[in-house]
Amino acid sequence: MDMEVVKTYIQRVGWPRIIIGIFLFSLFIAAPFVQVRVSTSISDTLIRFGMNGVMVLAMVPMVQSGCGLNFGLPLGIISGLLGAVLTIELGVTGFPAFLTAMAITTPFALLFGFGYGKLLNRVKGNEMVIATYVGFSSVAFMCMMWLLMPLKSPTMVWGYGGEGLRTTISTEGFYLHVLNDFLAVRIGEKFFVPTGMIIFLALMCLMVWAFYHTKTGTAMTAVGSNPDYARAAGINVNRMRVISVMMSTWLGGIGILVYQQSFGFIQLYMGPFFMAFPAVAAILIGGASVHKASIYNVLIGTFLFQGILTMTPSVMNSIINTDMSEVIRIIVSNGMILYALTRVTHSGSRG
Amino acid sequence: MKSVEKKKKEQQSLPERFILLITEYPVPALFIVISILAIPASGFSVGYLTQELITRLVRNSFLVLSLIIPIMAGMGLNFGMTLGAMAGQIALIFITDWGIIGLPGLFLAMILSMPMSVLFGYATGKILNKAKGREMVTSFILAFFANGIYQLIVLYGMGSVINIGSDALVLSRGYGIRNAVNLINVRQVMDNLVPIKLFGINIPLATFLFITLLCVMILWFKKTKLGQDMRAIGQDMAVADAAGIAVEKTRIIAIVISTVLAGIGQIIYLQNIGTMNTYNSHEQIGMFSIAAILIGGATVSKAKIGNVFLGVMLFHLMFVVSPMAGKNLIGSAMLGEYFRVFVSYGVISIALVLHAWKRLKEQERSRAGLQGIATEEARGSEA
Amino acid sequence: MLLVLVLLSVFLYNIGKGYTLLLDNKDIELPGGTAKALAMVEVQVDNEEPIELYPRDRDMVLVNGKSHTISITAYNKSFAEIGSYKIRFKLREKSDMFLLSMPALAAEAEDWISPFSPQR
Repeated sequence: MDMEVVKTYIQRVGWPRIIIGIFLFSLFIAAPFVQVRVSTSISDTLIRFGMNGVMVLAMVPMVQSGCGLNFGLPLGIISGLLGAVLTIELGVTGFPAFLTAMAITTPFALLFGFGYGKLLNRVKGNEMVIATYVGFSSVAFMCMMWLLMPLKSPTMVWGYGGEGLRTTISTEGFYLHVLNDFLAVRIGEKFFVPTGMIIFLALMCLMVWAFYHTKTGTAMTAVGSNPDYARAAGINVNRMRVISVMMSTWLGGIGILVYQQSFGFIQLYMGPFFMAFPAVAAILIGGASVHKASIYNVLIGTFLFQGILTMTPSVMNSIINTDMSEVIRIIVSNGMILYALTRVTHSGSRG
Repeated sequence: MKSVEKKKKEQQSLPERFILLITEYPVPALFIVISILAIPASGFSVGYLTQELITRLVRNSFLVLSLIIPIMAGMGLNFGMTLGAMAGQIALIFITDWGIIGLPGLFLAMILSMPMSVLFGYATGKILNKAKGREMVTSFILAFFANGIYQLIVLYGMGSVINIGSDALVLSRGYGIRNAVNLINVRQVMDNLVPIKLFGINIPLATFLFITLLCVMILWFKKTKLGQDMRAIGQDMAVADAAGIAVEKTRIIAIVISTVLAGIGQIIYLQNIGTMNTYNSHEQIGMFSIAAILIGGATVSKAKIGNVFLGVMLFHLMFVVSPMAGKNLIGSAMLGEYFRVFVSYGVISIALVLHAWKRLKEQERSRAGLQGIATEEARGSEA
Repeated sequence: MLLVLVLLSVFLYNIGKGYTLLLDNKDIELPGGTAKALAMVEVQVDNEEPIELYPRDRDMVLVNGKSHTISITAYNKSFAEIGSYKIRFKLREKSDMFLLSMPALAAEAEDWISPFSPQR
């Protein structure tokens, strides 16, 4: 009798997640034995959790509305980059800088999201591949733009009268760690909880959760789970999809801002190129599928994924004396996405 | 008067036909326009460009040709060709380690790559069968995943678990292959087999003939039962299944063939260049080959041999010309390079969008046709 | 089909594998005594360029495959020809490099050729 319960639980959670969970757990157990401080590890994991959380959250709207996994996240990231870069140009510093960046990001994100959403509506059934290439093309396009932008701030422009923006721009002096350090909890030298950032993430999650309990939110979910029923109920399917894309793009923009304030650098040019993939992998690890994603998935997935990324280098390097972290990252994240793509869904909808 | 009327009719049909051609093949048309603008801007001579084009045509065509069969079988763009390229590279690592020189070395590498390609192709096919309708994203991600496995083998396995005799190949830490492998043993071995020089331009005739051989084989294949089965699956999987075709198995075969060809193609590509970037050569190759075939006018569901050659020429023309054109027009070669990256990805996006758009419209039209008036009425009440 | 490919692979391996042949003109210890280095010897392997070796010289040739011909013409101090010799040989052992001793070959000794591994 108990076996049945365990079996259904395993089926629901999925083998990959169990394997990853056990793997992560064992890494934590192994840590003290290989001279890796657990306290630092937990702190690092928490920091990376907060850094990436919002971008993973950005996956939820589009999955829920049936547009699939947002491989075009770079578009949203770009709107965030524009916000960041323009904020620095304006010379704002500190926490207000972060708010300014958010404010500037928003119109860009909504604009890009609108166009992107309209495009996706024309290619129903093929959203994910096209999203990927739209993402790539826009990053490449912005590469050209970053070179041509007539911005003047000395921290951003190449020295010695160079043209165009630098590849990486430091957020120091602007909004470095403004969220991390807010209400931070520091125990001793090694344990650090970036409370501010986590509160921010919680706020974002709350916003999204609340949205999905509004009329528009429930309509959006209906569109994703059963478009014909939604249409019959009088919901404008296309409009809902576009709104979900705009939401996702906006969250992507905000997400990169959170990431930057923790990471310390704004990465232009090819930086955002592959950034969709870790976010996609994270939410899938958290249990989402191509058609269904919840905030629960976001939190669990980000924690597990970032946990592995943090722990593997330090622990495995001490055990095997090799840095296999990059290869493991590639295998785990892409393997996860692959697994999700090959699951036969019950509703039999297209991807 | 009659002759004047006749002349008018003739003049009308040409621009009309031209416009029809452009709407049928928007992507190559767009590309030709860009090229026409960029070539003079780059300042390269016709001789230089022709030589570059011929070299690149011969270097890349085999790889791009490998994409035709999966498209024919309705599986879309085979991003999994990267796995074939990896098989080819592993084979080359071995023959370089064993010191096999010249043409025998090259052919040995091709033969060695085959079992690996078959294995990889089989796995790819199986995975794609589980993701019907999402083949392209899946093969796209699969290529990344395989890259991880490849690194596991080549960066960690070789030299430690897999015995590599030659020290020159291995990294200083004792295991893992170096970043750049000098293929001096087989460098240009096929290209220089029958060297011909026309108007001062080198033409690698042997390689060219080898590619022609592949084209002939593809044309022959399309007429075989297997080929016809694949086309049927490409048209409509359900109908093919009903007609008794082993859909799943045939799809796997299509991918296996494509992967094997990609492996051989990568070996040809690398023998031309002479050095192998162990960890990078295969990554770009998928993207470039797919961009090339799309630029040549192929779509996700239709590809001909002509598309391959036209596409390779146009793509590489732009590739060669962009940096200098960017430098001369705007003063920045970097801009030209980014432009080239942008155009590559942009072209794939446009091609994908147009194709998806077209397919949707066709589906709507056939649905409307089936349901007839009922649909109109229902639509009226919805709005 | 598979068998054909395997056989073909073995064939290609054998004709394609590259070997380095070191040509030595040094005194060498043999079972019957010492074979002294020749005053001057001209060596030709297959159709390569003939190589001149003076005492204590060592040169090398890169060859493909296992079967080869070597012909040597020995000269004395006054550069008068004192003999010539030509044989076919096969590289039997598993090695990338072989040492060929010209004095030993001139003396028609059995082990004029042996595998060689460079000292690191």
